[in-house]
Amino acid sequence: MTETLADALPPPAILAEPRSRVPAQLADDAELIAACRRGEARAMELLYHQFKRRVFGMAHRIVGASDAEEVAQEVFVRVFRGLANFRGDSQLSTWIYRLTVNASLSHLAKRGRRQEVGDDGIAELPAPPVAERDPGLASRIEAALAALPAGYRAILVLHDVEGLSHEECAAILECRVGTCKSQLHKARGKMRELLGPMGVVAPGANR
Amino acid sequence: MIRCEEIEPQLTAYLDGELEGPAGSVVRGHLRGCEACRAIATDEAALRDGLRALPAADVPASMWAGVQARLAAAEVADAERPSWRRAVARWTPSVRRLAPTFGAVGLAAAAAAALIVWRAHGRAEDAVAPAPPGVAITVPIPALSPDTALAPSDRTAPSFGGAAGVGGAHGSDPRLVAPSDDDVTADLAHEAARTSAAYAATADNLAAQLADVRSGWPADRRQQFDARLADLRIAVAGAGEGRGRQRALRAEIRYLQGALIRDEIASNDRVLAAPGRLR
Ligand SMILES: [Zn+2]
Repeated sequence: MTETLADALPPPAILAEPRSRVPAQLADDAELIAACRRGEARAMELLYHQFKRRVFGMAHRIVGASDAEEVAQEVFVRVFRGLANFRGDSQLSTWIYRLTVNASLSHLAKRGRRQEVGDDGIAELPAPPVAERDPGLASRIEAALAALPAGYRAILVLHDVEGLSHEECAAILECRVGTCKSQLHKARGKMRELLGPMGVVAPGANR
Repeated sequence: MIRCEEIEPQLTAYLDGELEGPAGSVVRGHLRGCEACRAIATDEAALRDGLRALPAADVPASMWAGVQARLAAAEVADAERPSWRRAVARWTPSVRRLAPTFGAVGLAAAAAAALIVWRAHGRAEDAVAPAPPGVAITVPIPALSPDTALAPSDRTAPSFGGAAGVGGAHGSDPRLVAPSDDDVTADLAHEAARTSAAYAATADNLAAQLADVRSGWPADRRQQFDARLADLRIAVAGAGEGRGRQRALRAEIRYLQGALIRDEIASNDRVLAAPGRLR
């Protein structure tokens, strides 16, 4: 089995978007970082635009709609204030997503574990594109995601929602790749429990 | 005949195309004949596709302005905190965690004021308080040797392991390794790693503060400091997990605290000489 559904999916929009916005002379992470360290406002804004969608998206899925902006802003503050100490041992993106996941989980911990995402605005989300397969599936997935323990939510957001590889997820979560894989399996199992039988025939699932 | 309990744990990897060769065909073969497992696989595939297809949340238009306001507020807070108070804060990270620097309380008002102050002061006039962000830190960092620079974020490098230092100098809460048994983070949340993380965060805090003040030191003192810190960090890196690592981190923390005390004493003179402004 070489080809998977994941392979057939288009790359996440965020991968395509920033490239076009970053001028050639700043396309390199290292140059962007250096310019941000010098406090160049334009470079900082470029970095922000490069990562805003994923940072906000991850925070949104992990902490819920109402707190997502606050958390995402905090992440960027940490990014810009911590950039001088970023040595490039990991990818810039990995570091930023790690800050995002940690800020999100930390935010939840502060907010109190009982008050998880819950009815946090999830219901207001726009109609999902998967509607033609199962009209309620996306909103049910949103609800189930919100009900998961935060750690499971994090791995699902990184791997399944954002489409990052296990290697990237492991680097972000600072765990082994094997741990990441087993946690994803458990997280999907929890989701299936929460969702009940879906009875949806996904294309290619039983070839 | 392979039993369903042996197949189920492999389904995620199978569906994601990570099972190769015989392992994959064993699962595939089982799925052909087993309706129960096929239902699970079908559901999981639908779930995975559904997650992937969730609509992206729109980034609020106000977000960038908010980031800028927070940065400005944080910098003004840096500048206005007396140096002795900053020193105390460095040594008590647990207190800092309870009262986050960028707390939401009064943020809007502070930010409004901060933007004005930021504009009024222009950029980077103040050696102690970096404005705009990043400027001040570029002062000390290039002078450091690349491997041992004041670089807290690299606690997260694989050689250190664990969940330490996640937020770097201005981050973050070691407690974020969530305590729930069934969390993904539970795997990371071994006590030793948490303790080490707390120590590492403390050391990072201290190092970050030292990065601010270090540029004011004479060259020989900087060199001495860098060399000693490098040694201490090598010791940390080589200590492995557990108590050995914590001991090494405590040694680093003690040294950094000592360096701050010495700087504090020296800077009292400077503060007295120029009361309005730290230069
Ligand atoms: Zn079966």
